[in-house]
Amino acid sequence: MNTHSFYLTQAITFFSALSLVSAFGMLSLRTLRLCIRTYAAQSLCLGFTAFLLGLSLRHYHVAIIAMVVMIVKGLLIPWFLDKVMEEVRIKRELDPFVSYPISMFIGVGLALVSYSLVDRVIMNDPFAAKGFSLALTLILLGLWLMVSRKKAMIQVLGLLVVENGLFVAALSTSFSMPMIVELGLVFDLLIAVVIMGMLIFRIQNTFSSINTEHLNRLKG
Amino acid sequence: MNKINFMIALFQAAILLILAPLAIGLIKKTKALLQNRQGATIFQPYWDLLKNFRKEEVISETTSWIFRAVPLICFSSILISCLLVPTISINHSLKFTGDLIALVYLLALPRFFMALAGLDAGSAFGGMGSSREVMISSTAEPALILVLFTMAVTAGTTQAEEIIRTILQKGWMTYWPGTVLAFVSLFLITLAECGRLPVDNPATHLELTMIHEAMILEYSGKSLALIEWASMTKLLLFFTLLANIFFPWGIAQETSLISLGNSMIFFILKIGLFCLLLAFIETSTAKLRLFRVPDFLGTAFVLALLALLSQSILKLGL
Repeated sequence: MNTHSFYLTQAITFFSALSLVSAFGMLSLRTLRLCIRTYAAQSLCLGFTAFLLGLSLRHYHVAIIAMVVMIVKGLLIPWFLDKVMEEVRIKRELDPFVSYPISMFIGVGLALVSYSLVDRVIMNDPFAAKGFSLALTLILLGLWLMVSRKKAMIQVLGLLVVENGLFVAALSTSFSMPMIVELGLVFDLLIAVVIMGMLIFRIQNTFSSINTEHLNRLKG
Repeated sequence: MNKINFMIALFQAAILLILAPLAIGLIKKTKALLQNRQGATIFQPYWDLLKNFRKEEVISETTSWIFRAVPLICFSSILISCLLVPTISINHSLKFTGDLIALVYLLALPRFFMALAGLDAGSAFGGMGSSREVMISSTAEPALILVLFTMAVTAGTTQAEEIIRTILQKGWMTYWPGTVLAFVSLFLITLAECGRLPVDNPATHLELTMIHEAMILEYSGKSLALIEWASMTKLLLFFTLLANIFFPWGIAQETSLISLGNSMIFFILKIGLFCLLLAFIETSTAKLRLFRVPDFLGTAFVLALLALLSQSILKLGL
């Protein structure tokens, strides 16, 4: 292995690991705006990883998808969510269902579960095994974010983390889906986030809070 | 030859003791400048220490021998831990006497006695400070051990010198994502252990928020100077750990005046950078509520745990 490709692999490992770290960051941060920033950082890290991977393996369509992903998920969606936050004016998640340290520990547990699971299932392809366990971890952490918090904004971010996990899964098992499918996915996601933003607005207008617990109550 | 090695080992510990007030002065000056104040000179902590050493000591009648012994215990155990951490050379510390695990407990010993001293005088603030300090250290210590284990597993030894040597030899190979996690975690632990801003405010004697200050409230004169000096040295010791284990470039690998001098310059530069970083962090963050501190340290612990697990089970990244 020459030094050039050594640094490239090192960079790929590093940035994809940062995406996992940022998922833990979202589990530990209280300020909603910081959570949005962390999501943006995660998407940028994953996009950059995919870009480097596309270049190093000469799958140029992956590099193009990566750039679109970086623009849409790293810039557009966080920008839109920031706008929503400005309107909603709720800054922090104060009383989640599970306290922050415990939710971090459960996060570590979920990471361990997914790594040990994937280790048993995929044995012949180390690259796919590593990538798919990262993807599964992100998916589980995103789901955990969705169920353990009350604020609608964090739940949206959880869904977005799950989507990032799916992106990694596609990337690591089959060098991402065909370009048209990936691009369609990214733009679908954009529309979905816009609709979820509207929904957050409506929740805020109806209950003057984005706490989803209020939605349990029947309203005549 | 052995005599020279021994002298260099002692010199390494002396560097930490001598430079510690300067580091604190630099942090204070930078903070003052960032807050648009003039600030005292960076040598002010030296004058403070000297003044305290010259002053007469007042000891409460209700205290026992523990109260008088604690400053000496604190200072000597920090002094011994200085001998275990290499500052400018990796060939000359007294490593046969202990490793990083010994270091952790040498740092825990003064904390235990300081908490006792806080209780000994029987004042309300002392007891409050002791209970807070024990709460914080009981969550910081496991995280510290995990971080040091992470680096120890990388190098296959718990000797600080050998870890540094391995990192120097392997170069970029050792910088996997877990190292970054361990670094961030150790930095958070440093903030908590040395009573820096998000956890404890070193600049005030505000009764409701103080932790470290509350425990040493009863001390004066020489004892106060010794304790202050020990806690300054502790901060520099943590910075040295951060600088030399994670960024060991420039540290001397052979015994020659030139390489030792070079290494000294590198060391001062690295420590200076850490001081500036700490000053920036302290001006830009607010103090955490006391009951948030376990969350803060919980984050440090989880980062350290991830770092350690990523050595074997979690193969972080693609």
